[in-house]
Amino acid sequence: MTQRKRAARWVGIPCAILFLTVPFISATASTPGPVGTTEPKVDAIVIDAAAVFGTLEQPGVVFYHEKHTTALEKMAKDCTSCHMEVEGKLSFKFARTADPKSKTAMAEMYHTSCVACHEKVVRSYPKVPQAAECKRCHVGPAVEGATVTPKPSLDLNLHGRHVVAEAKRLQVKEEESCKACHHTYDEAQKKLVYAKGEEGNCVYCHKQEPMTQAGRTVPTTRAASHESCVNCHLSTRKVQPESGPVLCGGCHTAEAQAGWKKTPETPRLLRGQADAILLVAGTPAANGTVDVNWASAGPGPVAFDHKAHEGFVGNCVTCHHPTKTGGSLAACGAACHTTTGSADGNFITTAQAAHQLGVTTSCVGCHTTQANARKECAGCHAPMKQTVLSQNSCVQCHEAGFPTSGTQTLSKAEREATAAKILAAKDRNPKTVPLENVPEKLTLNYMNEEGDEWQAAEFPHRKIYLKLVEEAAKSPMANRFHGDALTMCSGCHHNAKPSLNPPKCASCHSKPFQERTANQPGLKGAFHNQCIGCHQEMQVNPKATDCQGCHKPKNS
Amino acid sequence: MKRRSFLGLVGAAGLGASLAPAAAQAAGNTHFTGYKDSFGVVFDATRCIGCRKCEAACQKVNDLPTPKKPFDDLSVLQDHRRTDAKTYTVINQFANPAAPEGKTFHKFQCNHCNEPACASSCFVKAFTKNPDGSVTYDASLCVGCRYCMVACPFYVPTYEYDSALVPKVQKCTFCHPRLEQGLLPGCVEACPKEAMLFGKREEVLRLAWERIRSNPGKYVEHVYGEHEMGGTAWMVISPIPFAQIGLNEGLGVTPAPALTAGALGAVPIVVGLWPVLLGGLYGINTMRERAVKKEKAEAVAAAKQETQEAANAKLQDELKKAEAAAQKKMDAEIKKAVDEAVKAKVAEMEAAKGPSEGDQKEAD
Repeated sequence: MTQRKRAARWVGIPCAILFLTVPFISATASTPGPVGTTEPKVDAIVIDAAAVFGTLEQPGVVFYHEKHTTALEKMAKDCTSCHMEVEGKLSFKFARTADPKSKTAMAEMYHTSCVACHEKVVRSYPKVPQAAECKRCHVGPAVEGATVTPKPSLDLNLHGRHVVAEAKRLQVKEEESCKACHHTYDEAQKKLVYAKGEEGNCVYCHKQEPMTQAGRTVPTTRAASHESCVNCHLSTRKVQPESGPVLCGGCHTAEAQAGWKKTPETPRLLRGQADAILLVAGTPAANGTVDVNWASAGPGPVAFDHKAHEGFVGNCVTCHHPTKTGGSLAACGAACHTTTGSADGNFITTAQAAHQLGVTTSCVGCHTTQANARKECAGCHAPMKQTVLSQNSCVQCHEAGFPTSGTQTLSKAEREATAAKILAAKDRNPKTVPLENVPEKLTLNYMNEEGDEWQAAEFPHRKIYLKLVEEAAKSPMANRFHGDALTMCSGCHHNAKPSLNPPKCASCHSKPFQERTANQPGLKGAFHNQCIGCHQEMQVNPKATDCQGCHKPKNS
Repeated sequence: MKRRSFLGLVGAAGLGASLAPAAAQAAGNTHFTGYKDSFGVVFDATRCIGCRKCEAACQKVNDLPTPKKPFDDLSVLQDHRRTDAKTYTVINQFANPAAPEGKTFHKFQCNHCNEPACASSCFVKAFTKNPDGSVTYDASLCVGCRYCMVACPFYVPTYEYDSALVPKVQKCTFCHPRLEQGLLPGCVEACPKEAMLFGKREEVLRLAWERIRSNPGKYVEHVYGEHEMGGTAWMVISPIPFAQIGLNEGLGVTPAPALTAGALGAVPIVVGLWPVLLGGLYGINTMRERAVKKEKAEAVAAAKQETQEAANAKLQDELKKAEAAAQKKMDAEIKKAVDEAVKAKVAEMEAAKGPSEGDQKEAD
């Protein structure tokens, strides 16, 4: 009896263990591997329109728009197979103009329309998903899709091309062609009207999310741009072969955007702005007049070259940025970023709006970003990336020679004239140090210790200086802001007053890891970090690990 | 054993077990945060260029065998490497699109924990945490159990598997012999970029945080090793999350010895206290059993005696009674016999002699 009991136990325990572990083993075995990531497709649209009514039973459908347009084209069908046409304009909602009022109705609408067509084409396309093959379509938004595509931007050049094209299409003068696209909402007439002189960027009204304004819903940027741009491109296509893109890939890929035609000259977009304007702290009036109290006007006014910036920036919206609920082309300090801040300007004052680092909407923020963006400038500017503004920086923009007390009312014309005069007097030429002050070659001969594997590097000092000067000369911003000739020296000869006889590197950098100079790298570390850091940032040879690019081996 | 006694023992054992770790922790009430003024190194991953000069220097200063591929062959960086008994440090390469040339490097070596797991796992004390910060190994003490290799959270100690006779555990020594001579560790000295910041641990930690703070966005705001596993002498700052340069982000901040101190601290208590406790319990139990047995025996004896006495008394009684009865009977019989004899004699005498003779005889 006991024997049998014992035997039963010996069999039972392993069985129990096996029984308990098998589900885990099989679970791990059946866990699917990572889903093969497909190339992100710009035409992938995630359809989860019914999600507004609540949680969905199935994940969204990933719909490849271009796949469908190609198939329909082969069947000699056009956009109207899926998109309804109202008053000559397509609705870019699928097979409807207005949304159903419930989740089931929305799902039903999609299912009926999609499946009906899929059933019809199953002969020519035997692989198309059919009814009840839920998971063939409902794969969820995990598939890389439309969200990653670059959004097209209408820069001044492309805008200029549209001005010409619209004038031709509407057969009006170019300055009257604005009405083709720009509109405002007229409360009295309850419709969209064109208002001359009030043109602004689309995103001032059309936001990422639908916005309710005066009891009506303003379409999103996406809805508005698709409806306006694509419909116009489609209708133009009917009368002339040359027209804008109508399919996803025509606008939403970097390659397509790079391939857009450009006119050699970018026309200025005139909305009453000055070529140059004196920015001065004070109380602005609507007509551009500013009441200045010089005693509290800060470090002097700034002569701002608006015209040049239009060319550098290429659009209006980078500086005249949209806000959460609006946006305008008005001057920064006029209504939003007032000298003391306002709720409309999110309490960002004029000074902060001009100086904030880390954003592209402020003057200094954008200038810093620009300086860091070019690899030719990165050798000096990358290490400076995070530095705060120095006191010397103020005079780069703020003009001296203005009164420091008393009040004055400056009209717009006066401000324009003063700014133009100041800007005209600016030296925009690259400034260089006389070459006899720039040593041609330096032998960094600190390497005479016994164990050293390499010979001292020969440093082509003048060549490097000239190259940096050459690259900087290409940038109008550098020419304007590099100050004096010694600025180009202080990229390497840092932390010392710029001079023609800067201290030797070894005067600060000596033995590493000394307690009193813990923040200063040793000489070896300083040289290698400076040279290699610059080479890496500027992407020039010799590469970081190419020792022989600079040093000869000692035994050679 | 009786059920009652067994339950008593189990209860006592449970009490003992629950008391032991608490007692052990109470005993270790000092919080060790590393030797004061011990050395430390912060590896700055933004500076490393992957030139392998540190590996070469390590091989040189430690007299390690020359590897098959020379140190200037950077193709080895393609593979994710580990340290072994002949390589105390390796550079590994990780993808980082934001970095120059799209690569970020990590130098891997012993981190020299403030409270090393290897040392706590070693039952022959072959590992020592030295006051200079280094964790060193004494081969003469090692028994080759390799518990240290299992214990190390960074998988650092490695074994000389190819040594048949006296295989040793090998790992980076923080160049302990060089530190004693006032020299820098080999790798630190060789690095052309000063990617390793050497100094007092507290000092380099401060400098590391200064670097992080004065370069917003350049580094992940964390010094790996400041608190990991209770703190390490070698630390890392990185431009990308530490997991992306091969470091384990899930180690926690508890020093490895603290994880086992409770259980290990309980050993002396179990070994020392349990025999006494259990012996006592056993003693009490047996004593009680003995007392019960004795009492019972006494009771039984008393009862037995009582019964015996009662029986004896009864017997005596009976015997007396019987004796008395027998006596009575005998007396009666004698009387009867005497009577009969007398009667007969009388009759005889009367019949033979006369009544005087008979009177005479009776008077005899």
